[in-house]
Amino acid sequence: MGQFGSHLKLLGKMTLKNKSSLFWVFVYPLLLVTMMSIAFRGAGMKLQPIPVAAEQGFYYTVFLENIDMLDLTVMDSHEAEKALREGKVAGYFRADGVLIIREDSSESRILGEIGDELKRAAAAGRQGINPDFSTQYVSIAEQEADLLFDILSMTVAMFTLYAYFSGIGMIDLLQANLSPLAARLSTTPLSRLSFLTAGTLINTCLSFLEMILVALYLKFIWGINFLSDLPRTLLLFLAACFFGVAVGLFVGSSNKLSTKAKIPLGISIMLVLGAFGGMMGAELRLYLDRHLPWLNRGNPVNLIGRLLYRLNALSSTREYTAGILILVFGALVLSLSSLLFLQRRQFKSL
Amino acid sequence: MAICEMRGVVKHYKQVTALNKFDMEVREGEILGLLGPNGSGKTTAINCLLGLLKYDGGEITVLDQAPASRDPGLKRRIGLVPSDLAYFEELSVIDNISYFAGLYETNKREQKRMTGYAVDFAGLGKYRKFPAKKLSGGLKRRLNIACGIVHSPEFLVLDEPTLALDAQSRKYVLNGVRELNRQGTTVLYTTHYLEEAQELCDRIVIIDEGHNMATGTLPELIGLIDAEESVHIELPCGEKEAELLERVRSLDGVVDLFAHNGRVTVKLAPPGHHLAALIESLRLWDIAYSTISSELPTLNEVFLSLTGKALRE
Repeated sequence: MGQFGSHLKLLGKMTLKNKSSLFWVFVYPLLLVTMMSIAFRGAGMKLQPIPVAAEQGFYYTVFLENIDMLDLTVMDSHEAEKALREGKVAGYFRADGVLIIREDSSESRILGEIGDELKRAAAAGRQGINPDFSTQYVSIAEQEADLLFDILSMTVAMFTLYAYFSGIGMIDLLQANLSPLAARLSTTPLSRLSFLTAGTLINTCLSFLEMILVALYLKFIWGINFLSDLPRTLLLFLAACFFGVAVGLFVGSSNKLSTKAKIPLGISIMLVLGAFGGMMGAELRLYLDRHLPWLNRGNPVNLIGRLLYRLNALSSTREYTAGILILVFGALVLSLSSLLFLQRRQFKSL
Repeated sequence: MAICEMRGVVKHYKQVTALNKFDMEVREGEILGLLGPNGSGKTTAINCLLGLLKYDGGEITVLDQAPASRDPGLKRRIGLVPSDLAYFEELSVIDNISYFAGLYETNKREQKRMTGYAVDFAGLGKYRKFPAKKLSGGLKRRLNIACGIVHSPEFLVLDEPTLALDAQSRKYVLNGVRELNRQGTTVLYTTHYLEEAQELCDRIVIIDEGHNMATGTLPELIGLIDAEESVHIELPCGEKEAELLERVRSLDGVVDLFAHNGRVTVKLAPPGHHLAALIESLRLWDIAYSTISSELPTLNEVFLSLTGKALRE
């Protein structure tokens, strides 16, 4: 064990004895999800079956009928287009496999996901045919929609990345130019690898506990279930928290900004990433999906939020494995890069 | 033998020269005082010496190695007590000290012994379980020292360890440093307090504007300047004042002489230490006195003479 045990003990005690950090880790997320639940629930945002049409002759009608969250009506194409225009349905599946959905509706994500699932199944040849399941967005009218689960997915995703702050805190203890204590520790035989490993372990576990607490709170107090696919969701939380710590380590060690500057910077970036992912409503996300699609492809909050949403709202595991691998691989790369940055021991000024 | 050497070290912070061809040698077993006003370059010199700061020129060796060495063996031989309080505020006294012990020693029993030694050394026995942030200023300084000496380093660097301390705590710290030195630790002690340097250090380096102005023992430093020694003689009821003035005036080295209310002050040319000779003369002249005292030039006068400014300016 050597120094590793000492570091684990130190960092564990420091976290548990720091009231401010306990507040930000455990209390603040609960307060924020409470506020968001109250704010968005008040707008009539309970999940209801989504009205959807399928054109006569659509091959997967039976499949769609078995999806609980869809309220499916089979009609001809004229009726379907009229129903869509009038807002009676959120989208319709054409007989040729094309899914037409309203671009401004929050159900668009759900329908889009279902369309993608069908496309995947078809590509795998399970149904023996290979229709074009491309999705076309059409703009028809404004509509109040059920956003709560969608928004909370992004909010919970953002919380997983709050482990960023613990990463910043670790670097503050290791890089001599950031604090007197770090300067002092730099003159001791402290092993940075051992310290970072212990700190990453402790802080990932702590953030993971926080996420479980948030999920339990949402489930039992607000009836919003982010634990419907428990094992996969827990693994996602774990990978996301690890990623959050690693981002903190990287940002902490890779530049000359002071710790005081890095903390608000982190908060701002996470809020912006959350907003891009749809935390403030679907409009911005939909706009970015159409005009700047690359932006959300590289957005970790969006990645985690979408995976959470798929797992718990759609029971879909699409992109799950790839998502977990991206997070874990990204976290490893960022952590190792931080270790390289920390090899710099001498500074121009302290 | 030199434990640490700095030769012609230059360090710039943008346009400001913090160290200007700075030389210093710390000899094994001594307490070397690095004396200078705030901003004179003391902490910069220490940070270069410890390998924390890059420097722009010159050479530094510490325990025969370059300061930037990553050798953990070298780091085990050096201890640092920084001027800033540098420990874990959230933790208790004992947790702080035992964590630092754990950085140097993996054996649990040995860690415990080291921790006990540092707690006793710093007189923190009663405060073992106290959270560090709730300690008084003096006790915080002691904890800062305990974390730096827990591994009984061969070479200890103390950067203004008594900053903002009350007299009692300062005395405690100075006694502790002396005790460490008696146990064999070589000490580099920076301060801007003259009294501390005079009282504690075997040799003193006077630093100003990043330059070594002078190095030596206190008498050696005083010998560098042309300052007079003042001897004050109190006569019982002013007896034989005129005779005393007459006789003293004829002595060698007397620069000035005056009397006031039965107190005669004699100014004598450097080098100092004329007191014994004057007492012998008084005995031969059969002149009785109630008190006699000598006032040698102080380090402040040395500093003033070398730098053209008082230490506390």
